[in-house]
Amino acid sequence: MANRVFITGLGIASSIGISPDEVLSSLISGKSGIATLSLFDSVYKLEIPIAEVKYINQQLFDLIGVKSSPFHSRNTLLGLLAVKEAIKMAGFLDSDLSDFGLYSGTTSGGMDLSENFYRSFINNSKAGRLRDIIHHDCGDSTAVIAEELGIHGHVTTISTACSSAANAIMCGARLIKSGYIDRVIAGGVDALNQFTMNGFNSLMILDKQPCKPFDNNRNGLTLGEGAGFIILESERCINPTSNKILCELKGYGNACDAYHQTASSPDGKGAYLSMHKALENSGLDPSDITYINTHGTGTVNNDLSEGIAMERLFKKMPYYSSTKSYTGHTLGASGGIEAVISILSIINKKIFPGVQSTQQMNELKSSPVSKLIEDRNVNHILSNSFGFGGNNTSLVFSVC
Amino acid sequence: MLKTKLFIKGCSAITPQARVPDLQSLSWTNTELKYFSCLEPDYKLYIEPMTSRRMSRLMKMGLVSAKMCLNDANISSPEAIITGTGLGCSEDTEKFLVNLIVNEEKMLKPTPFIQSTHNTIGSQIAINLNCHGYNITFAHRGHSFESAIIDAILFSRDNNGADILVGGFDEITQTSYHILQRLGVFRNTSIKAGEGAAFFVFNTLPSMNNYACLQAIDLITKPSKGTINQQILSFIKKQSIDIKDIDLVLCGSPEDIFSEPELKSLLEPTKTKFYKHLCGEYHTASAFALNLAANIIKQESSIKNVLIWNNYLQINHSFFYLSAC
Amino acid sequence: MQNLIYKLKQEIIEALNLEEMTVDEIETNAPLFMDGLGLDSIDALELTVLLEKEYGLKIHTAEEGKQILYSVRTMAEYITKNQKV
Repeated sequence: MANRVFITGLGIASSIGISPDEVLSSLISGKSGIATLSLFDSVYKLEIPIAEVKYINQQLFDLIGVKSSPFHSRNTLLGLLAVKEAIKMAGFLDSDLSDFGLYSGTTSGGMDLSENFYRSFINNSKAGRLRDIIHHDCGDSTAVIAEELGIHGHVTTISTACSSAANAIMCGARLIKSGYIDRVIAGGVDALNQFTMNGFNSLMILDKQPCKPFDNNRNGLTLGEGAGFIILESERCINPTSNKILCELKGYGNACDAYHQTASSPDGKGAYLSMHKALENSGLDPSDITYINTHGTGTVNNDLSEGIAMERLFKKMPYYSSTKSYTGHTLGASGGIEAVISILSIINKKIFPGVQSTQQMNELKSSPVSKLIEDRNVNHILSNSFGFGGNNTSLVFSVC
Repeated sequence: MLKTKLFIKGCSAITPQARVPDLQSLSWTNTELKYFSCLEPDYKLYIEPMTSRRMSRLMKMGLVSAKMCLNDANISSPEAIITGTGLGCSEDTEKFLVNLIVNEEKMLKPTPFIQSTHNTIGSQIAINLNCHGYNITFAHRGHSFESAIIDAILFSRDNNGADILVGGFDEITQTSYHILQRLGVFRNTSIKAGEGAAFFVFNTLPSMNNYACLQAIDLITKPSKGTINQQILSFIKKQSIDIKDIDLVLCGSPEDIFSEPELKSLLEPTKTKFYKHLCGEYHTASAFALNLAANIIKQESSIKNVLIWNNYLQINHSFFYLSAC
Repeated sequence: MQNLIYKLKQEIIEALNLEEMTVDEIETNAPLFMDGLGLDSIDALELTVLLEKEYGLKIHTAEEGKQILYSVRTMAEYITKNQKV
């Protein structure tokens, strides 16, 4: 039995705002969240621009009103903020959530706290505060969020690098379509930390200027952080004409590039396959897509691979852009954050440009959107998230 | 609870045991070991040097047990690769983190960072096989492997006849053992930490050499004290069989049963056996148990219905029901 | 230069974990990437770290890297020309 899957709530924490309204406002005004690092110390502080959520942990803690222990990872705090927003928008703030599912994608887990632990631990194996190491694993923030909100339906964590949140949304939707569950909170979260920043720096793919996705002179990505969650509800439990419905998750596709651990294939095979599968799954033709929210990291490799794949799939290119020029690359959270942005696009009938990109890529026949487009019916959006290891996922959001 | 009918077409595991344990090995014994370490094969037989040179230990364990499993199932490449791991390559994560601190962010080698992402093993399997199919990794504590199984069940419903490769793996290192000691995780128990990698090929269609048939799975997190026996009874009842029809119950350790007195009468002592004295405790130990159960069903004609109850640190519980095909 | 070339080959074997290779099997003038030894982009990064760690020399761009890391000989020549004593 196939159940349609509707989206009834959004929650977001990002460098351009900690609510859907704030984020919408930044997108409309073209205000990027990329700035100088302030969350932690680093020798690269002045060298590497970064897109932080503009709240320290204590501020997040106070905003959320967490019931349990004050010692949580930044992942948990960002995730809780976004999940609670989404629940509130969908009208479930005072409801019993025990039958809800929670699918969360992340790559960093509680690494911000683990770093604290290790700084003391490496010199003395009896040193390091244990409360800093117990939040290390990827599943921690998901488990804490579920416990905090009383969520007892299927709760799980996906960790597939930069496609984590997109996969969480896809798997959550599939659970609903199977008839097993009616409501799933799905998305992802990733907080910045020294480990991640230095990891990407060691790969030499960080731009020393704010990223320029799909620009001919692009130089790499800009890291960001945040959380993005959406409420998925089954057709079985909600009237398709209900005014709670924001849009529909029409389809999804996942494929493996199977080329290299970090690089994308030159012909964009994995990207092509995931987009193709998502369209097939949605029952849509490429010509139905109004806009593609690309993965568009700003690396030489990704944008070429993705660009070639898009031009191969779409005889006539739809509008496309990368909103990572606003939010930075939020890694495991990107699929969730970009889902929220895509849905804002549909509801508000706007298409958001990339900022910072000005020169068309030599290898492509098309360019991304460079100016805000308003009062435009946005019927179907394809949102791409491509992770290390060639884990490629595409989601289709449709107007209702 | 999810019901299914997935045939186990092939399976393989790299574990602390030299061979798959038989029924006789499943009586609990205490050990003097600090923790259980896997007996590893000669990886050169399975992976070319230019490919393996960069791989972490867990990466090799995962890749090779996947390849052995595919051989066992007599297929070259699956339609889906679904993996579960609690901590991923923790050795490499630690290596990068320590280097970062010691070298003050300078001159950092990228390889351990790349392998610290949890889907690195699932991806490497795909690269090795040139497999462009569905690929996903779950990392949710003591339900990591179970989440992979649930996803495989859902995938199978939309893809009848597809070969689905599912694996669960985790490693123990000196450091993680030390941290577990400090946390007192195994303080008042005879269970020790462990590690392992186990892979399965599932298919909705039967084939010549099936091991067993996975019929159902259920998960609970932090159940209230004294409710496990009800959970087990309820799980069994939903399979339209009686608890008496279960020929073998596989539990992690006798302490699981002592923790809930009503279980002593529910789970017949002659039919209840244990496995964590063979593999130790780790996030994906249920994969070891599933491999064990599948092999026992294949080898012992008297064992037709098996219940696995995995209890990860009293937090994540899972039940699996398997039957002979 | 010959001593440096020998030392460099040993360091490359160690840095890239080329356990099965001996110094003699690495041709001084052969390309390290694509054909020749068949190294990839991650190896390039590891060699970049090696140059900085052992010889105090930084590679700033991918283009620069492609030229310096072309072969053992080009690496040795770059080191000889630029190494801070």
